[in-house]
Order: sequence, then C-alpha cells, then structure tokens
Amino acid sequence: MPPAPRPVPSPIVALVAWLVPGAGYWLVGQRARGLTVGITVLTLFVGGLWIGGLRVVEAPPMGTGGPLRYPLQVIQQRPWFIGQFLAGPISLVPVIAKNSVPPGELAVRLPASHVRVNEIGTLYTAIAGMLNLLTIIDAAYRAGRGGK
Amino acid sequence: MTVLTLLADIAPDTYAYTRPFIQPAPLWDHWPWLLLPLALGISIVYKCVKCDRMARVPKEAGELFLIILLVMAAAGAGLVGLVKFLEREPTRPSQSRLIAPATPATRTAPSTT
Repeated sequence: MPPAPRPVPSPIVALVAWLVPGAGYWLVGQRARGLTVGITVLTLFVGGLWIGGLRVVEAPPMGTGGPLRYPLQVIQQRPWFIGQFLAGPISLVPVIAKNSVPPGELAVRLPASHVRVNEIGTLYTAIAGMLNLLTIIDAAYRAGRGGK
Repeated sequence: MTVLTLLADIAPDTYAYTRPFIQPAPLWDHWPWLLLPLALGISIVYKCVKCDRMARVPKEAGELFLIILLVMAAAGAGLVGLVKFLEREPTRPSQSRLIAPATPATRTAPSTT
C-alpha cells in the first residue's frame, strides 16, 4: 500500500491558488474541481480583456511614496483593481503592457474603451478575481481538513 | 467565419476592429447579452465551491444560472416600471392650472375702493 501523500499547508495552497486559479484544489487532490474553477475564472478574466481591451485593468497610480503614505486615497482611485488583482499574476500583464507604452502614444497603441464596453470588461475581470478569492479561501480551508 | 470577421461585420463602418484585446470589441449595441456568460461563470464557480460532489455541479449551476437570469429580468422590469412612473406627465387639472400662465383676459382689475 503506497504511503498517504503529505498534506500541503493551507498558506501554500492559498498562494498557489492565487498564482494559478484552480491550482489550489489540484494540490489538495480535487482535480476536477480545480480544472473547472481554473478554466472558468481564466475565461472570465480573458473575456473581460477581450471585451473592453487591455486597459480595463489599470493599477492605481504608484507615485513616490503615494501608496505607502496615502494607501486609502490611492485605492479609492481604482478600487476595482483589488478584485482584478485577485485573479492572479495574469492581472499584471495589462498593467505591464500599458506601462511599456509611452504616454504620448497610449491613445493610438493601446486605446481605452468607454461606457458600456468598458463597464462590462471591468465587471468581468473584477468578478473573475472575486470568484478566485472564494476558491482561494475554500481550497485553503479544504487543505486544513486534509483535502475533504 | 471567425469571431474576428463576425465582429467586423457588426461593427460600425467607422470602426476598424483589427486588433483584439488591444481595441475594445464592437459590442456596445449588444452589451446585455454579455451578462449571460458572466452569470454562467458565477454559477459554475459558486457551485464548485458549495457542492461536496462535483457530479452535482452541472445541475445545480444550471439552476442557479436560471435563477440569476430571472431575478435580473425581474429587477430590470421593476426598474423600468419605476422610471416610467417617475417620468409620467402631470395630469391633474389643478396642477396644470397652477402651471399655466395667466392671460390678460382672465386677470381681474384691481379694486379701487
């Protein structure tokens, strides 16, 4: 009889679940759940980027000392980025893409969306992140119970 | 027909949709339909978290999806009704008499006594 696999600590499961949506469940042995959740969260996030363009994900301005001295004011400028960030490192791709474009060429090379298309794109990406938060908590909780 | 050519067909003539993910998709006239996949995704993930057995997820997620759609439709209909109620024209005669400007013929001469 093979030895039982060593349980993975909950914080590690939570971190892995944030890094790759659905991977937390995979670590605790629930592969079907992990695949379903991962594919759904990533589809919603990428769908939001497709609907509204990459600029639906914009990080709050990180000026010198701003986020540290006035964290609430910085977050209040783009609160939906918290939800988007919870979808994992994939949420940083649009931010990096935007920062790699000179500000003068931004409107041409990476145009922003407006009104409904922007709202729906933002909604998709933020809800994908919020759903991933649910799965992070659940996977970590299941890890604490031995994967059950 | 690819998604790109399909979208290019529904886009207005003034909007050249050639760079998906870079440009916003030309869906501004069809945005209510985009709520369907969103509701489906929410249903699936929520039921994946709640259900103990994955075999129950498809049925329960389908039910939740339908409930979300029904509640959204009911909320939308209720809000439309509320807006129409608030936008209605005033019809009471006393109110219209108050708003109508007084004409010289209806004015009474000031009393000299």
